[in-house]
Amino acid sequence: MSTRIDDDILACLPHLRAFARSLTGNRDRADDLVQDAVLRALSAASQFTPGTNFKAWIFTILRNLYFNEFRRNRAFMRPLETADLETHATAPAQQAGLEFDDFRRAFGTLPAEQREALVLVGADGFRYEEAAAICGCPIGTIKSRVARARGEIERLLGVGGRDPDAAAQTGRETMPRRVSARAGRQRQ
Amino acid sequence: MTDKRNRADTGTGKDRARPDEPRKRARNGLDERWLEKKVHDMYQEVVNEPVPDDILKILNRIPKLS
Repeated sequence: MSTRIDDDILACLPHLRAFARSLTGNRDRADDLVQDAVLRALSAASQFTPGTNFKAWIFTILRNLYFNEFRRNRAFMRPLETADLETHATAPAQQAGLEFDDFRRAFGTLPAEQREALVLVGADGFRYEEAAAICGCPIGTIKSRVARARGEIERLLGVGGRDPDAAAQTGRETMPRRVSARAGRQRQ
Repeated sequence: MTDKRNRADTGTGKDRARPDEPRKRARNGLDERWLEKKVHDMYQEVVNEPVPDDILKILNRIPKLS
């Protein structure tokens, strides 16, 4: 464990950016959010208890900044629009790229609370209790948000009966239902 | 006396296995892995990006402690 907060922050930066991007859907807004979170963490460094989970601590700072901005300006939290969702530029095949874009669009239609729950648990590897602490809610709420997020994405993409391992062996996956840019509604 | 053997089956299905239930459970498990992979791939795409200098400059301004 580093004794210097800047080393801890540096190690977390890529993940902070990814988490911020999942919340804002926009590269520039996400990086602005990360800068604000880093500055806030530096100014509040004395409040961090050494030996505890630094990543969870700074993630909490970032998500609180994001949702505080939401309370001040709901327009800031508009549904992630297609223009904000950057195209997956490194897809090995056009089919995979289109499918990934469909997933991005479906993900972007989710409410912010569901997006953060899905990312914290599904991508960042936080346990449910850690994700609940970051989001300031009960564990059951996090589990519910993750389940609803998964269910909504499955509904939008028509995911069913696919075997990721078999698809990887054959080199292609079943094309999910295309998601229009207007699919889903912003729900809180 | 009522012949219970001739009574219509009014069961709701709760007490008998639905033929599609095992497949449905398996399908949900496979879908979860597919979704987790997509979330992970989307996330890793950003993790693998170089951190912008604007953010790194904030850390470079911190006095180095010996």
